[in-house]
Amino acid sequence: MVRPVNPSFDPAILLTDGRSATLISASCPKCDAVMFPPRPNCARCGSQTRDSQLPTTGIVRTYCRIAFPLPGAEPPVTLVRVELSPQVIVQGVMDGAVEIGDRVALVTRQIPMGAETSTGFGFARSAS
Amino acid sequence: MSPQTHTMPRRPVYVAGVGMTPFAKTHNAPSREQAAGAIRDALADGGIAWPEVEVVIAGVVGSDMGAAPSIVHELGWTGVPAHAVENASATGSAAFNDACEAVATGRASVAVAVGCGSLASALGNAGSPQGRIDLAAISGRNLPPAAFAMLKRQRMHDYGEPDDAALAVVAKNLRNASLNPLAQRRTAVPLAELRSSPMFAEPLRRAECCPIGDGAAAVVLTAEPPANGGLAVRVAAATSATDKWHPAASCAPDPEITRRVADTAYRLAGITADDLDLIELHDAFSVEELQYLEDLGICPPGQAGKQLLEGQFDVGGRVAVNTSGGLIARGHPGGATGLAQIVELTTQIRGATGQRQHSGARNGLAQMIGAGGSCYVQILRGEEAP
Repeated sequence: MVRPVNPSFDPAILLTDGRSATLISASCPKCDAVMFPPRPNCARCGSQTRDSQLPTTGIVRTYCRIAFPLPGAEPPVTLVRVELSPQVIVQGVMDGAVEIGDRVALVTRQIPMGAETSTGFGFARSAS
Repeated sequence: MSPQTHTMPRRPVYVAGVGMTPFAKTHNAPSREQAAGAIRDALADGGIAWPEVEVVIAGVVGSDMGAAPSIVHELGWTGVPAHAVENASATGSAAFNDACEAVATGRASVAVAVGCGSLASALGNAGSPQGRIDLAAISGRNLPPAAFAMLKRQRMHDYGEPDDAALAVVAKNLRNASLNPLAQRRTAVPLAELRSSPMFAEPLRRAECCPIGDGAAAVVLTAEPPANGGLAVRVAAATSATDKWHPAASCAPDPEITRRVADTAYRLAGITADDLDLIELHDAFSVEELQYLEDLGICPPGQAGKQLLEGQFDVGGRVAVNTSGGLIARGHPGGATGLAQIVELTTQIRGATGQRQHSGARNGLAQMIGAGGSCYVQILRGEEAP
C-alpha cells in the first residue's frame, strides 16, 4: 500500500517527500548573504536573490521548554534555535532532550490543518 | 547617511508637564477618557491651558479609527491638529518622539504626546485565523516568552549567569513599584519567594513576565523652559531605528538594535553611559533588563547580573534602573508605556518621587522595544532654569 504524502505546510519554505525535509533559503549573488525564509530581494543590499538549500544539520545555540501547545505539539514543548549555517539560525520544535552545542538534524513533523494534515519541520538529535 | 531616524533638536525641547492614570488590569473608563484625564493632569502640572496646545500626537493601540480627535474632543473642540501613531509596545515612545520633533522644528511651541489603549485588545485581534499554519506558528516564533526564555538560557550558558540574576530584576522592580502608587503590581516579593513561581517557558518563570494592563500617560512639551522653580527637564535626545537583517531574523529580534540606537542618543546628548543616573527600560521579561543594560553600555557583556545582585541598579545605587517598577511591576498597557517612562524620569529629575527618589538624579534614559521590530531611546537632562 502506498501511503499518501502530506503536502508541505509551505512549499516555498520546505521541500519534503514526507520523510526528508530541506529548508529553502535565498542567496544573494551580489553580497553573498543567505536568508531564511527565502525572499525575492536581498535583505542586505536589495539585489534579486536566487533560491538555495540550507544544510540539514546544525548546532543548537539555545533552547527553552514551553508550557503551552504549538500546532502538532502538546506541552511541554521544547523549542530550539539551530545554526544551520553561519548566516542562518532557524527555530523549531525539538524531539527529545537537548543541550546547547548539540548537533541536531532537520526532521519532518505532521501538522494538523483543519481536517487535513500537512508536513512541517522540526529537529531531532543527529546520528552523525 | 544612516537610515536611523533621530530627532536633533533644532531648538531646545522641554518636558513642561507630565500626567498619568494608575495602571491596572482593566479600567472602566474608555481609552479616550483615560487619555484626556492624563492630558489634564499634564497640563495642570505644567501650568498650561488646553487652548495653548498646538499639536496632539496620540500613541494608541487596539482602538477604532479616529482615536486622536476623540481624545481632543473630550478636552475641548479647539481645532488643534491631532493624529494617532502605533508602534506595538513602543507606541507611546513613538508619540513622544513625534511630538518632540514638532517642537524642535518649530511646527509647534506646545505639543502634547499621549498614550492609551491596552495591548490585551490588540493581541486579541492579532491571532492567526483558525487553521492557518505558517512559519511563525510551527516554529513558535509568535510566542514572545519563548524568545526571552531562550535569551535567558543563552546567558546562563555563555556567562554562567545564575537564575537568581533574572529573578533579582523582578524583586527589585516589584520593590520599586511597591513605592509607586500608580503601579499595577504594588506588592514587594522577596527573591527567595520568586524561586517558587511556576515555569512559563523554562527557564523563564511566570513572575518574570510583565502583566498586560490598561492606563494612559501624557507629556506636555514646550520650546520654553517651564517656570516651575525647579530643574528644567530638557529632551537631550529622542531617537529610534528598526531592526537590521541578522542571522536569526526569522525567529528573534535584532540583538544589536539597542546598542545602535543608544550610541546615537549618547552622541546627540553629548554624554556617555557613565553620566546616567536613571534608566527606565523595556523589561517585559526579566532577562531583557540584564541584556539591555549591557547593550546600553552600563556594564560589559555578561556583567549585568552580577552588578544587579550587588545592588548597583537599586535606588541609591550606581545608576537606578526602573525606579517606577518597569514593565514588570509598574505595568505595560502598550499605548502609555513609553510615556510612563518619561513621567518617571521627569518626576525623578524634579526630585518628587518620594520614597523611591534616587538622590541627585540629573540624567535619565528611556528605552523601549516594539515588536516588528523597533527601538526607541530618549535622554532627559535636568538643568538649572535659565
